[in-house]
Amino acid sequence: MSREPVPWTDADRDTTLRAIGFANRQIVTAWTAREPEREIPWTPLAKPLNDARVALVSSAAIALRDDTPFDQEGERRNPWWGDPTFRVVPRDTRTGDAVSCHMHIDMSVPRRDLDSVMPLARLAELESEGFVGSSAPSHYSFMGYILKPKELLERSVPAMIRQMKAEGVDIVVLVPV
Amino acid sequence: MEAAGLSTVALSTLPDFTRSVGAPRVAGILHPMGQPLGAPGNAEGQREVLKATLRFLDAARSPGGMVRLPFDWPVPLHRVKWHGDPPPIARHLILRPWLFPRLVSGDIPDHR
Repeated sequence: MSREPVPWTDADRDTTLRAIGFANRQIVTAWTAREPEREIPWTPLAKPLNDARVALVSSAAIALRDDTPFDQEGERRNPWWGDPTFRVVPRDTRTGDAVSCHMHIDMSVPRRDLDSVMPLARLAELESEGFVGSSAPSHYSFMGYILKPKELLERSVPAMIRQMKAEGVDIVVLVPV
Repeated sequence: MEAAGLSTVALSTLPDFTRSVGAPRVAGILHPMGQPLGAPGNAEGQREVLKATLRFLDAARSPGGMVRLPFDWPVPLHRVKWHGDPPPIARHLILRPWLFPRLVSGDIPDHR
């Protein structure tokens, strides 16, 4: 079944803002308005989907069970701080292999089904049916509550990009939560 | 990432916000925050959302595109219940409401 996207409307925006509650609405509206107009970077997709390698980036703070968890204790000590590091999540990771350490989302969702926030199983299916060329060996997650993103942008993101390039990634699906 | 030669697409439940920080292709979806692909266990729905996201990337021809993927949620989004404790900043600000404007304005206190 193929369903076509439709234009995003102001009514859709209002629906999303109503859904997140009063305090979050104040914050998101102010932050959105404060972002400067900027030149938007652009790389056209250079090959067909069924030849492209795809990596996922989830902001749901997903870490393998035997990896170092994201630092929740530091955020409890200083609620204005968020862990700016990232984790590699291998392509075969499935629900139960990894945990979410993101206190701003409903962590019961990824605990019950990782693919609600980081669709590694679904991507593997799209690879099997030939919809995409391949799921990359490595995928990535960071914790999305970071009020001062300097370290995330200057250290974590470049490190993710280096590994993506080394693994021949063509497409990155960003999944903010 | 785009500057490094990677083609990106964002699947977002707050696409206006995602767009504002410079994402070149934004697929908005009217799903609850924290479950952008779909509800736990709904593999079929998640697969269709991921396919639609990738098709949108494939079809996009210029930066700044923002669309709505045609998927619904079974109940109104503002009625979706959130399971979990409030985050530390919420508890912090309930006790210190005079600091809330600093969070809204982005005047964030220095770390540690």
